[in-house]
Amino acid sequence: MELNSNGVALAVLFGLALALVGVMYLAATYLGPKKFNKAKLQPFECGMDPVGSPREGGLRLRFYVVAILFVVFDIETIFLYPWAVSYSKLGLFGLVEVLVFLGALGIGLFYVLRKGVVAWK
Amino acid sequence: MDFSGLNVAALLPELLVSGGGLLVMALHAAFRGRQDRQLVWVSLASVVAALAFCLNPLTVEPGYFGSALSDPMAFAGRITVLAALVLLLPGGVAYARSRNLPQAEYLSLSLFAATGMMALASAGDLIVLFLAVEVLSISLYCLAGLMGERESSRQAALTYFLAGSFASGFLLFGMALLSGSAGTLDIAALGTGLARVSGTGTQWVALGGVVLMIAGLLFKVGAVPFHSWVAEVYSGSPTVVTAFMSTAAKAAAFAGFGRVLLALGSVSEAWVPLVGICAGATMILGNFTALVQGNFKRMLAFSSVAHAGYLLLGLMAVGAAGESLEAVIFYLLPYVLANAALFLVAAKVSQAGSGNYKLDDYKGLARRNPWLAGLLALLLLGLAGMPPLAGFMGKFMVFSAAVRAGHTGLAVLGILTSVVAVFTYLRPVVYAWFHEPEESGALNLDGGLAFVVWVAGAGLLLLGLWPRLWLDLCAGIGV
Amino acid sequence: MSVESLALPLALIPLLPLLGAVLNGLFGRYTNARLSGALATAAIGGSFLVALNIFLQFNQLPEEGRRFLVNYGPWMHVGSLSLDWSLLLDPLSLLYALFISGVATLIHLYSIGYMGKEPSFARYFAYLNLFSFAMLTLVLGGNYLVMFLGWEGVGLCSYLLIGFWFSDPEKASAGKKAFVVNRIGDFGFLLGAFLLFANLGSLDYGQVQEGMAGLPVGHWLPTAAALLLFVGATGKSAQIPLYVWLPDAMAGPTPVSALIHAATMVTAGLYMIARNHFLYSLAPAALLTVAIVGASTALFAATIGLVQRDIKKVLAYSTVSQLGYMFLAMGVGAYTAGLFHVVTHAFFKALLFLGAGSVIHAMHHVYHKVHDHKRDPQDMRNMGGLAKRLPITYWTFLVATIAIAGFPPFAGFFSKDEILWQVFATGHWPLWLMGLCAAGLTSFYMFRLLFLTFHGTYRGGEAEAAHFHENPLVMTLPLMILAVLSAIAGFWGLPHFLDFAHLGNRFDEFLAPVFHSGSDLALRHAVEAHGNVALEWALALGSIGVATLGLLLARRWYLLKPELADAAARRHPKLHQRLLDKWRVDELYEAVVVKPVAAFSEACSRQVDAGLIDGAVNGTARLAQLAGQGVRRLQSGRLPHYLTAMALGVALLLALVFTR
Repeated sequence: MELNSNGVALAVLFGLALALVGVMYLAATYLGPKKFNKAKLQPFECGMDPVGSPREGGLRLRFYVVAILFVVFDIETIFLYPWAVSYSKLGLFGLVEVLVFLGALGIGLFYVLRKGVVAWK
Repeated sequence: MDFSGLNVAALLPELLVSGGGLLVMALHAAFRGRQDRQLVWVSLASVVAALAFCLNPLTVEPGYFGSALSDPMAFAGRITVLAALVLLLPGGVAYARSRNLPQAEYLSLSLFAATGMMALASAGDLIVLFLAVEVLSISLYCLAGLMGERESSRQAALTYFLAGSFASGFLLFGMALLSGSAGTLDIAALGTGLARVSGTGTQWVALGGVVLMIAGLLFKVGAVPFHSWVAEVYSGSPTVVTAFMSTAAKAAAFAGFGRVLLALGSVSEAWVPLVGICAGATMILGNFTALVQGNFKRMLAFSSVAHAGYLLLGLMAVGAAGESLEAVIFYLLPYVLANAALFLVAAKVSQAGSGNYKLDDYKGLARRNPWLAGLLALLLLGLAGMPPLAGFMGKFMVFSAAVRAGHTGLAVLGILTSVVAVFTYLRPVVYAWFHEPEESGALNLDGGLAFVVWVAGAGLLLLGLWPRLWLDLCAGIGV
Repeated sequence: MSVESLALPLALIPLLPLLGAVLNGLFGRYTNARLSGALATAAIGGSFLVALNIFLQFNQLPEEGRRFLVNYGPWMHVGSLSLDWSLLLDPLSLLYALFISGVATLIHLYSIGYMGKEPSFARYFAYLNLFSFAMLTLVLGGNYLVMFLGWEGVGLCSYLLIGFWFSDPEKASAGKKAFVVNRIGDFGFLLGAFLLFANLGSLDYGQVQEGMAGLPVGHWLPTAAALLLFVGATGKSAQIPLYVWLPDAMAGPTPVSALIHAATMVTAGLYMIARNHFLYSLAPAALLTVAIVGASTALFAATIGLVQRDIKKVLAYSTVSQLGYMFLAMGVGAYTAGLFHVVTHAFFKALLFLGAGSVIHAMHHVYHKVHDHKRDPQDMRNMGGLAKRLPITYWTFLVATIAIAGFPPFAGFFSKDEILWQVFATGHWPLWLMGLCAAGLTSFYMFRLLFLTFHGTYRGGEAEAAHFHENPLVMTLPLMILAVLSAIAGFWGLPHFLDFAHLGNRFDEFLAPVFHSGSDLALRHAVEAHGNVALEWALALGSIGVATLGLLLARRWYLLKPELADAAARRHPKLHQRLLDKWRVDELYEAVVVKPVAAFSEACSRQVDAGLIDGAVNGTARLAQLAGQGVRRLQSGRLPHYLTAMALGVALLLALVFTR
């Protein structure tokens, strides 16, 4: 077995990272006080008494879809900022690329709208 | 800025296919799904156009500043993926229609996945490689869940997604360590970059990167010990999607994998034993597990794990000086042809029988449709590697490459496990020819499926008799 | 003519019948027998026309330019083995292609009539065309492997056609017998080819010939290779000890017997020896073996033919015997004489079989009319006096009989006499004597057949005889064409001493470019040195005399005083029974080879296969299942387990790399 000093350092780093996670996890499990009562064990539901099984109701899928749409357009903005900043450098090529990108997103948006995803029913 | 290295033409096949996917989406939305029957033609048109551009490249220069290549590996990968699409799309649409799956989504997601696969095969730098992996994976996650009403399909999608993301994490982390220590994102330059840091402490970082990246790629090709998702995902997904995953996706992943390993030739002593152990374990586990399956689809799933083992053996060989990816390039095409056709046949036979892919459905198939039974035998024997079919030449090339590279033991293991594979593949053939049918009545193929099976069978025979045809084509067009 | 301009027509010769086979195989059953047969005939006829066209151009070429190796692309390049799809055109392959496609065309045509009422006609014509394809590939192939492809192909088609009526178990098993016996020969062929490849590194005829060029006469390599290849020839061409399949092969339809088991496939062994003449000329021991086997077969088969009652069986043993002559010629180095007999024999033996078929067809028809399905339409004891009823068949059959018996000026006389002369002139007089005896026997059994079948009175009664009528033109036309050929083909290879008009031996001249290499020339000189016109005359008159004896004896026993034949049989009951039992060779093989092998296989299947192998297989399966149970804990369908397994895998790989 042959490890040079940098290798050891790397191993130590990995080890420390693992140890830290482990220690904190175990500490929370064993050190935390555990006193349960009925109210504490109940699922959190804005203060109201929960009705039925959580499997039946759940969160409506639509929340996720809208959230994903939000993220998609968020990322679009993240792409557009650096392009706008270096617009003069990228020139026509940059413009075309961004238009292609926006076009693809536009088709996606068109699809989403036609599918009635944002029509809240 | 200098745009002389842009060369959009190098990316035309990918652009055409992804454009086709977008068009399908847009048309579906524009016509509110009323013209979905025509969409398959749009998709096929884009695929055929892409094929035409691959076969007739405007340029052999790399595009996008070296991030998109068009070498033999890229050419072979693209053609293999497109060929799989041509075979699978018509049958897939028929399958989707008969089971009330969304056709437009099936088509556009398949095209997007294909875009990622083709980009993976021709990726020249690590970022493109990762993006390609993600594009193909995410599309496949969605495809796996296409049959959302069925629990197995939902479960497959979720398993695939979570396990895939997990593996993508390894892949990305590995890439970060690797490119950071080698000082480049260019795959071809990784070797020289690593040579520069060898002997310094950074070497160890780089080595960690290599291992993590290989682990990520091993997951994508479904090799042991990262194969646990395969059975569940393959058997839970809609069969046409499984066919796509096990053929085109695997071919593309191997193309990308091969390119990375080829570049890492200078540190081959680090990864060759790794890949070797995985290859050996994959061949053994894949073949033996396939042997005991009573379910045709699961049998094919595990057999594709086994084939990943043989392909890994071919990849290992590039660790030796002077070896090329020729054997792997050759192996992929007949594998893809046979598997694509077999999955479609499985869907057909199962639908006419028990509905859940039991091997018993094949009993007496020869009485019900002798042509189908004959071609089934041909395809399975092709996978088993019987001469004069192309599967034999593929295995032969892989094993001889392994022997040349000094991995004789693994080559012998490969040959021994191939014998086990013969048992696996002969079981349905024996059922088809030597058992009495449980159901009577002819089992007729529709035109599309017949086309696929005949093309695949003819391809296996042609490539087996004339293997140089495909290799010379790859070498002649991709430079 | 150049290699480029030749490429297409040469490929067409085998490919046309292949196309016919594919079309008939796929779509034939949607047509009728006439259309299907016409298609098959047109396909092989096209091959013949192409070959004829090449032949006409060929004659205008200078002698040294008559060899073309056309390469159609690589087949396999593995290690040092480099094989191409290539076809070879030289006088030898052209000769074979010509007579094969020509005779095959006539037999295809004949089959339209003969098989017209057969329900699975499409299968028949597809097989027949496939056979033509394989046979033409065999003779045109440019290297040993392409030849072997054809060699196996004709074996397969022979099997398929012998067992054509496979619902009859006897016929099916005759097919199997032919296949298995041929496999033994093929094994020898393959070993020979491997031996050549292992020592010379090539399977190309030209390169093998070059590799042999430097070796001294009697060197072990050509001797061993020649003997191994000869084992292949004894299988395909039905020589001792592997001849036993051919008589049984008569279970196939009669045109098949004519095409495959008389005119073409069985002469493949001769072709192979002629193609490898450079090998055999370097191996005197192998040549002598060929000669002895040939002469013994010629005599041995002729004795069996004397007493057979089935018309086709007589012809089958006659074929074996005539093939023996050809091997005898090859064995004394008289390649052209042997090949000449191949060609003339193709004409008259095809004619004999087709004539026999014509008789059987007519007998069948009559039995059908009188609703008799018990009597055997092939048994000569049921025939007699058919000359009046089937005049065309009779006259053509008569021509063929005279030709095979060796009376001048019909074809058989010239070719057989040439062989006997060369055997004598090279100093193999014991073999010559055997050949001469066989010639007498041949004449006897052929005229016995002729008299029993066509002369005397019909043994089924006058009423029944009235139902006979001559077969249609589609069947008699091939008979007439073949009769003309049997009568005149001899003049193509006129021997020197009969060449009064100084026409020259055109056959010899045609094949000269193939055989006039160094060592072959030495053999020719030996013949010419012994040559003596007076001796040649004497020998020719001797063999005519022997043939006449056979004719007279047959006439006395079977035409004039039939009771004499029975008396002779009663005088030597043991001998007669032995001959009827075909010397009990089949029984001998059954006891010495088949039974032990079957017992061994039985033991293997019970002990080794069921015990050891199945045990191992089931064991591995059980082991794998047990292992599967273990793995199933991980394959639980629960995602966290999968992810844990993957993480462990990564850790394992990391550990592997970093602890090395």
